Amino acid sequence: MARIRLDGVGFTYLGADAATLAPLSMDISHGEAFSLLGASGAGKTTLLNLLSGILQPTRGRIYFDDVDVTGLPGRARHLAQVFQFPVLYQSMTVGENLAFPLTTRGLNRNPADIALRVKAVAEELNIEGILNRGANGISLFEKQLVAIGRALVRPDVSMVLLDEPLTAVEPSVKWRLRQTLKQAQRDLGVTMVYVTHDQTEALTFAERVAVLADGEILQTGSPEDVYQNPTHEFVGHFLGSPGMNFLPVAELPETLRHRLKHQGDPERLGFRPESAKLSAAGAFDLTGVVSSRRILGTQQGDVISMYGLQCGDHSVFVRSSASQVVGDPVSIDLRHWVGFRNGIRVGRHGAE
Amino acid sequence: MLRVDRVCLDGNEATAFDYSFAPGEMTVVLGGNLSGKTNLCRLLAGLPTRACGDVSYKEQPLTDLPPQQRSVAVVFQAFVNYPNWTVAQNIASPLIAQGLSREVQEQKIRSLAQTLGIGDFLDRNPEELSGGQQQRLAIARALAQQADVLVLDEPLVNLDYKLREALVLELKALLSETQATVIYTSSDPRDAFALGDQVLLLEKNRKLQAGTPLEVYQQPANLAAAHLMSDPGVNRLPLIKGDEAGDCRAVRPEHVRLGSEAAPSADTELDFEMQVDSVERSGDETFVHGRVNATERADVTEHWVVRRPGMHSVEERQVMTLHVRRDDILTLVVD
Repeated sequence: MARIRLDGVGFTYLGADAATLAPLSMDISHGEAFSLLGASGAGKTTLLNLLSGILQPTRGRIYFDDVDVTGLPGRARHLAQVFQFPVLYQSMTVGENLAFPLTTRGLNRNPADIALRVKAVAEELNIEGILNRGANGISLFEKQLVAIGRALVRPDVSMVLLDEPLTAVEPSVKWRLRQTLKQAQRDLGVTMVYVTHDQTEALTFAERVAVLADGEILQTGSPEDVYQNPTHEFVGHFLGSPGMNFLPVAELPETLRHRLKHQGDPERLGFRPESAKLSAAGAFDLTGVVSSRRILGTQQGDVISMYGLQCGDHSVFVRSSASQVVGDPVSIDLRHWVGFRNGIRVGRHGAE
Repeated sequence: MLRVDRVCLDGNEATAFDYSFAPGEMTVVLGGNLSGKTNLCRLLAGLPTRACGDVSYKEQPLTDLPPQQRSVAVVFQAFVNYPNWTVAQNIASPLIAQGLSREVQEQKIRSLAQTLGIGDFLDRNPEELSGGQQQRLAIARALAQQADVLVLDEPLVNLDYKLREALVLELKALLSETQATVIYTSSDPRDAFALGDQVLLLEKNRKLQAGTPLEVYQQPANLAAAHLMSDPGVNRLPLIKGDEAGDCRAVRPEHVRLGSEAAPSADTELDFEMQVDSVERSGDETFVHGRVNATERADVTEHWVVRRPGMHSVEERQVMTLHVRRDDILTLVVD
C-alpha cells in the first residue's frame, strides 16, 4: 500500500485554452479510504486517468510513497481498478478469475500460495462459496464482488481506484456491497480512492472527501466537515438531498440582518433543510408560504415531510413533522447556518 | 382509464394480475432488476415482449393495435433521439403527424423546449447536448405526442445524482399539469414518495401490492413489499407467541432509535441490544449497521440497520441499546 501525493498537478488538453484540471495538491494517506466527489465534467475522470497513468499531467508531480511516478506507465504503478460494470473472464470460474492477477505478472508464485491468497480474499468478501462457479453464472452483485476481489488479490497493490463501482448494482444490495468493500478496506489496510457523483456513496465510504467542480478541488475534509461546514456555496448545494438553501441577506428581516453583521457580514445565508424548524406563522421573523409537500416516511408515528416554501422570490426546502398544506403561511426558525460572500464562507452560527 | 387484465409479465399464467392505472395521475411502478417493470412498459406500448395479457384504455381494447396506433408515448432509460435532426426537428417529429399548422408547431416546439430547459439549443444536434439535456429532449418529444398515456421507464437512472434530483422535482411539476396517465418505473422507494400519486409494487413479475405511497409504507401487504418500499430493507424480528396472524415481524430502519438519543418509555417501547459493526454518515443521515439478538437464543442474530436523521457519533464494535416503538413493529406474512 502506498501514500499518494499530488504536488501541483494540473492538466490541459493540447491546444485547449483552459485547463481541464487546475493545479492541485493533495495527500492521501497510506491505507486511507478517500472519495472524489463531483458532477459529470468536473474533472473526476481526468484526475483518475492521471492517477492510473493513462494521462500524463501537463504540470506538477505525482508520488506513490516517495517514488516519483509521474512518468511511469500504469503497469509500473501497481494499482488496481474497479469499474462501473464488472469486467470478468466469462469462461473462467470465480476462483480462476481471482487467481488471474497472481499468475500473469511473472511473480513466479507456487500454486499453493496462490490458492491461499485467493481463499483469504474470497473469505474477506464472503464469496468463498462460489469459487467453483462459472463467472457467467453469478449475479451482478457477485460479479462486482469478484471484480473487487481481483483488485485486492495482489499483495503488492499500491492503491485501488474505484470508478462508480455501485452504479450498476440495484439499491437493495448496494448497502451490502459497500459494507463488504469498507470492511475489506479496513481489514486489509488498502489505500482506496473512490470516484463518484453520488454524495451518499462518497460520504459514507470515505474518511475524507474531496469535492471537485470545474476542474478544481473546492474542499477536502471529513464527511461531517464538508456537509456541516461547506467552504463554498457550491459544496453546500451539491451535498445533501435536497442541498443547502440560500437566501440573500438583504431580503431578510431586519432583526436577523442585524445579527449577521457580527457574523462575517455575509451576502447570502445558507441553511440545511433539517436545520430549520417550521411553525404556524408569526413565531419567528423569517416567514414563507408552503408551495409543495413530499412525504418522506414516519417518525414516532408522525408523518415527516419535505416542504417546499416560497420566501419572497426564493424557494427553500425544510424537513418537518409539522402538518401543513400548500398555501399555508409558516414561520421558519434557523438553528444552524453558514454565511457566504461571493460564494465563499465568511461565517457560521449554531450548534452541531 | 388504462387497465391491464390477466397480465403475465413473464408469460407465465401463475403470476397473472389485473391493475387499473388512476386516470390523469402518476403511478410509480416500483421493482428491482428482473421484476417485470420493463416488460409491463413494453406491453403497454405494444412493443415485442414476453409479457401477455389484455390492455385497454377507456374500455377500448388496445391489445391488438400496433404501437403507432396507440396513444402511448414512451421514454426508456437509454434515451433515443433522431441523431441527424436538430433539437427542434426532434420535438417537431410527433407534431407533424398531428397535422398542425407550421405556426402552431413552432410555438409548441418553443414552449416545450423552454419548459424542459433546452430552449437555447433548438438548432443543435442531440450529440451536442449533455446526457441530461438529451434525456430532457426525449421527454419533450414524448410530451409533444400529447398521448393519453405517458410511460417513463427509469428515465433518469443514467444521469448524475444531483441532476436526477432536480429533474424529479421538475417532472413532478410538469406532469401534474398534463391530463395524461403517467407510468414511471423505478427501483428507488424515494421516487415512489417524490413522484407517485399511486404506487404499484412488482417482484419477480408478480404484483405485491398497490396503493398510495403512504398506505404501502404504513401497511405493507407482506415482507417483500415492506422490503421493496424501504432503503435499506426492513429489519427482521422473530414472531413472538400469541402474536396476531403473520409469519414474521419487522421494523423499518428509520423506526429504530439509538439509546443515546432518548430514554425509552417503558410500556410503548421495546429494547434491543446491538453489536455495532459499522457506522455510515451521509451528512443528513446516519446509518448504524450491526447484529441484534432479537430472540432468547443467544446464537441467533439478525443483521439490522438503524437510520437516523442528522450526524450521530457512534463508536464501532461496541454494544448499544436500541428502542423500537411497539406501534412501529410490522407483523407480516412472508409471501
